Amino acid sequence: MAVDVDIERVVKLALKAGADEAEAYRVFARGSSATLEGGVIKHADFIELEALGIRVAVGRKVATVGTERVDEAGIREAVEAAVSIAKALREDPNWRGLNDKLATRPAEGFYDRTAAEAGPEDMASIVRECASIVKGFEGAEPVSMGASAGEAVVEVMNSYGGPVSYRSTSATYSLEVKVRSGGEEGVFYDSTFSRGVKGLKAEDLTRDVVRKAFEYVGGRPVETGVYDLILTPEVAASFIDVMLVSPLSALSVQEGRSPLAGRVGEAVLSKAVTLTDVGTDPKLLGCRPFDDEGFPTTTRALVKEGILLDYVYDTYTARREGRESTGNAWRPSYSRPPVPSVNHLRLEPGDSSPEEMIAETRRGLLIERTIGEWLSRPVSGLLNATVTHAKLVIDGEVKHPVKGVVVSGNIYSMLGKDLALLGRTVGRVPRRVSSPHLLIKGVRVAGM
Amino acid sequence: MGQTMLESLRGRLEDLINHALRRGESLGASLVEVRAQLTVSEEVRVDNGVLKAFTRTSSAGIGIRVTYGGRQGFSATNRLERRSVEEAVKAAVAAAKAVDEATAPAGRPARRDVRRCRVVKNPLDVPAEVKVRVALEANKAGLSVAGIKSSRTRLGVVADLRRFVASDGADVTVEAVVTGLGQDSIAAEAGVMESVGDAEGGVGGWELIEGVDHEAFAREVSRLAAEAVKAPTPPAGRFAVVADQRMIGLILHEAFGHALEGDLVVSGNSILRGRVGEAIAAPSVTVVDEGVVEGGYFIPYDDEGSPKGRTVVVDGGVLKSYLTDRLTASKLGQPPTGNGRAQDYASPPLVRQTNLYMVGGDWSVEELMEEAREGLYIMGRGARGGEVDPASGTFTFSAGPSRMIRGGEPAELVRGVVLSGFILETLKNVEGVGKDVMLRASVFGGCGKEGQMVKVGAGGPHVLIRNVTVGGR
Repeated sequence: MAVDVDIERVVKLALKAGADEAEAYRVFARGSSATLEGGVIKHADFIELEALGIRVAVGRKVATVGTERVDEAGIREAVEAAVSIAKALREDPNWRGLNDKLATRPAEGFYDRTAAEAGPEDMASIVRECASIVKGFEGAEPVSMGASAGEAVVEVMNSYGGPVSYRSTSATYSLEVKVRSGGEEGVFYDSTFSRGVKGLKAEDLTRDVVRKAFEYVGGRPVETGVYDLILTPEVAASFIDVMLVSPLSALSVQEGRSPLAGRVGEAVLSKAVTLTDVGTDPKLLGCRPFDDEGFPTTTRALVKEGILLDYVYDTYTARREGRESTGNAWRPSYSRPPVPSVNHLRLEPGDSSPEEMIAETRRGLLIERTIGEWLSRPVSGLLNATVTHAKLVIDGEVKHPVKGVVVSGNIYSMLGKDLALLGRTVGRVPRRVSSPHLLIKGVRVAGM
Repeated sequence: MGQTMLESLRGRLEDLINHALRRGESLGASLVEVRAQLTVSEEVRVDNGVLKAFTRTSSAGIGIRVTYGGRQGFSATNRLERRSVEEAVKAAVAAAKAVDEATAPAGRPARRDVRRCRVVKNPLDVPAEVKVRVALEANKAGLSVAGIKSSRTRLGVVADLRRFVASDGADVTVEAVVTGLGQDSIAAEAGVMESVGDAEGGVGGWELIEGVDHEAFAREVSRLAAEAVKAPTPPAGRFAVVADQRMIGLILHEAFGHALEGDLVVSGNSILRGRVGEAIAAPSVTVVDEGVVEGGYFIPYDDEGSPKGRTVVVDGGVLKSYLTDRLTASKLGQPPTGNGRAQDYASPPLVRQTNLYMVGGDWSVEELMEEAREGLYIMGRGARGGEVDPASGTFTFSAGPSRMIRGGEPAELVRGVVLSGFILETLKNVEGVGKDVMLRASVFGGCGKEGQMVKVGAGGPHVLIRNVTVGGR
């Protein structure tokens, strides 16, 4: 693989230009994809990109510059811009320097050749194969399908150490299927992530989605009222992602934006809830050997049996409190300074099955897909989500499909006093949060 | 656009574009389309009185689409040298060979044109320390309001230069600049926290920042947060709703705009498939997608070199047209509407909205309130956007702090307002369309589809809609 930018030289250039501290962050990515539209492969591509982020400090004045112009002139221009901007800024009194503990652990398990070497034709084959599976079911049509695979190299170096780097791969597959049955339509969608192409198990997922689309034919709203909710792992993970990831960030806590501020050692959620920040498992999305400042990642509990133990830190927020980073620095993009966030947040399992949850429910919704939960505000704890795919459960029996209703509640109650049961298996979903099934009692639902 | 960057790259890009066209043709492509793009963006972030980040990003690259054997393949590179461009052309041809779709794209005029939005004062020429001062002053003003626990301010600039050159002779350059100031304020009271965010600015330069009293703007956002934190959430159920200009823009974009996108129509992913000529809205509803309009984003051409004019998508409640790029236009048997838009050079064009808005009617705001009698006045300041599942026809969006309507008058404030509906029902339930049309576009955020973000504008007048589902207590 082509590796053009010498980041050691970038750091040296910045120091020479007048920076007291300098950090270079390089990302190189290449990948292929294919998508289907109207039943045939409509689009295929191969993209290769390299980008460089430079963070410099002049005293306590800090600037970040990013560039995709990775030739000599582009790099020089970016370095000079970073130093001259920094000099013109005001001091950040909370600045205590860049990370000085760069990772030494080798990265294993993040790379799979089948994803690195796949081309557009390989992606097209997966999609074609899966489209023919869908078309094999009477009344079913694939409305969208896409597969992609590629590799990325991340490299970090600063004036205290490095360079450190790791190579990772990813493969993704997603689809949406529409079916007609008895004059009515049903749709369903899903997606999956793996480090390698084989791990996608695209055919299995395709059959599951077709089956689900048939189950959701004829969805309609239910009456406004109070219902018990059974959340599938996808929905539970999404709710936790939207509502708890930001409050667990030390930056949110320090800047007065977290309802969890000042509550370490207190019971903030149900005794049944243990939340682990997993940094090191290559199978999980969000895990990596070191964070975006080069600090080694780790795995530890943030909430144990309902008690808040800690938040997640990058170097900046950690040193504000005189402690060490927890390896949770994330750059929103290569050109932005990092902020602390969870690596992969896992709600640990309980001991129930989805069947037991259904049997427990007198009047409830079994929810499989929602939209719009990201519109909720984590500072208030108020969660709203619009249900697109649910089933009404009455007296322990699954009834008709439901769509177009809004569920509303406070996340600290939903995962606190109202949390009745946790599933015994954590679902694997393609996001940075995972969860088992959850049964939550007494939630307000707006419908007809 | 930073002049030094432009000058240093202009000659090289010209050479690489021509090289890509020649290589593509020599490899047997019947059409070669090259998109060269230069962007410079800046963002200043101030958090509770402290400058947290000053970020500048420069990007430059080339996206290449070839039509080979009737099939389209795409590739992109940001290594601005002949060898890499040649590799990208070959990769695009290889990608085309993996494609099945062989529909000939609909024709478009091969225009040669250069269009720049109006910029009085280039924001990239304004010194960093001036931008920091404005952001710090706004931030402190936001923090000065009683009850405010957190004040975050952003100042953003994006200068985006796109050149589209094709082997059929088209050569179109579009240069757009957006500038804006954003404020997020969090209030706390009695253990409850609430946030409100808003932004000023739009298409144009530093004059937009100078035209705003930045401290008054930030204070106003904070005051709304401080008022909202004391407000209850609305009762759950179905309500008559008067939407303000921002909210109707959001509703149209989510409830309707996405389902109009031709690719979703072709794939069966839109509930509006097969409904051209059908009444899908109340007779008072006319909806337009327009590339260059006051308050909107600047899109005189799309990323396939097609002119983006004014597309009437709904006329008097009747569906008239979908939004299309060249390929979906061909499949749907209608002319291309200039809606093939790409996030950047490294992304292929998709069918996207430009500036979608509802045309004004003849109601005053007071008349709409009076007609509603009881319900909810949903307000866009502090709204976070929306989402749609176009296949099932369900959409949702959030409003900012809003007011109950009681006895035909706006009454007490409510917070945490989320609404939901079905595409085919909501616009049929429009009972009154106001006169006061206004559009907005912002430097912050955009519209996401298939992993690509593009800037869009949206708006309309105040509108009364019956039977909207509202989440709540």
